[in-house]
Amino acid sequence: MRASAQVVDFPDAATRDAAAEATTIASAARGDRRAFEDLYRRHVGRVNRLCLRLTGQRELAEDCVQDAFVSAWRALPRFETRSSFSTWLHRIAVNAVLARRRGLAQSFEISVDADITTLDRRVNVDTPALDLEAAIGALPDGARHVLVLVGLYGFSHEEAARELGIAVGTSKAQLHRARQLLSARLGLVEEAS
Amino acid sequence: MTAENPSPVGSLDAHLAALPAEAEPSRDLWPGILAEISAEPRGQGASRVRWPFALAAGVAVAIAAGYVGWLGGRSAPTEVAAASGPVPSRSEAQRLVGFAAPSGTDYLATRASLERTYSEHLQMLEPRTRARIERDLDTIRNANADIQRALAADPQSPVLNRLLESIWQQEFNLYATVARIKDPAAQRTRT
Repeated sequence: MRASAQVVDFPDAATRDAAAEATTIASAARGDRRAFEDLYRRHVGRVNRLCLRLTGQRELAEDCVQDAFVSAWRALPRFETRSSFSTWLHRIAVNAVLARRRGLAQSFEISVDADITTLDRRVNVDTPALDLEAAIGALPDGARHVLVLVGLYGFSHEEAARELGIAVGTSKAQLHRARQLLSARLGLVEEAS
Repeated sequence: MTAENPSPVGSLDAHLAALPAEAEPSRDLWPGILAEISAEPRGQGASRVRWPFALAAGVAVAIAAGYVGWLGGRSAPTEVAAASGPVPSRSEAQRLVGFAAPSGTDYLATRASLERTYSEHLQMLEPRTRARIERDLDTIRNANADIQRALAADPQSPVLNRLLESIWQQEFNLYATVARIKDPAAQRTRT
């Protein structure tokens, strides 16, 4: 009886984390740079991975990460906490990559990129993910961008098309092409769509 | 896994789902971000900041951070200069700078020791490298002086205080990085 009387309905860890992050976001939105640094530390790994997959170049990806966080700082007062901060940040990162692409006025066409393989090798040697990351890095730009956004980060085709400035049908076709190329490269059987 | 012996239908999705979600950048991008966002007024108190000073400081932080990373890559962490006395690790240096005021005893004593070793090692480096270090250190010190002047007019500015803290830390890190090179003369042969 005593034990059951002491049971308190604490929120679960995820709820507590979300609440803590909401507080941090609010502080950062009011101009607290330490709070924003906390957000940076918490999210930089995911944002960097996204930029790395979109660009295929480590240095360029890191420039995009920096651009993304600076843009996020500027836009933070307008962030609506009803949506996921992570998703919001990913969209900003995608825009940062695309802005860099336009600004550079050069092709992003990358063959199997040494940066990605080197980066992953440092983390875990002989992982099967290494082959897949390299294969993604070797995809043509259009196919890679759609695969990363839709296949890996949960964008809808409508969202991806809007972000990339392409038609929804093109997004679907590029995803199909990306999956076929990856499957062929990795010796997998592509599932029927 | 080969084309002759294909995996089951849908395995590509399983592979995609198993990919790592994170990849840490090769360097800390925060100093550069801080430099940029500090140059823009936003939030309470921001309008009181004298931005040219803050901008100069931000540039210094970015320069120092990039420089420390560049030079740090040339020496292994274990290459500690034992002959010149104990040299604090970067984390130790950051602890001292982060939690002690510039007038603090720990900070001043450690900084003085570090500066001696730094000066000795600096003289043994390649002239071009030495010139770059000295130029960057000048930038840091000039920014420090600018911030101090700005703080005299606005002592409670959180942005300026944060920038000042970053400047101390970057200066300290730069000293520590040079002081930790075990054989500075050997650096001359590296490219």
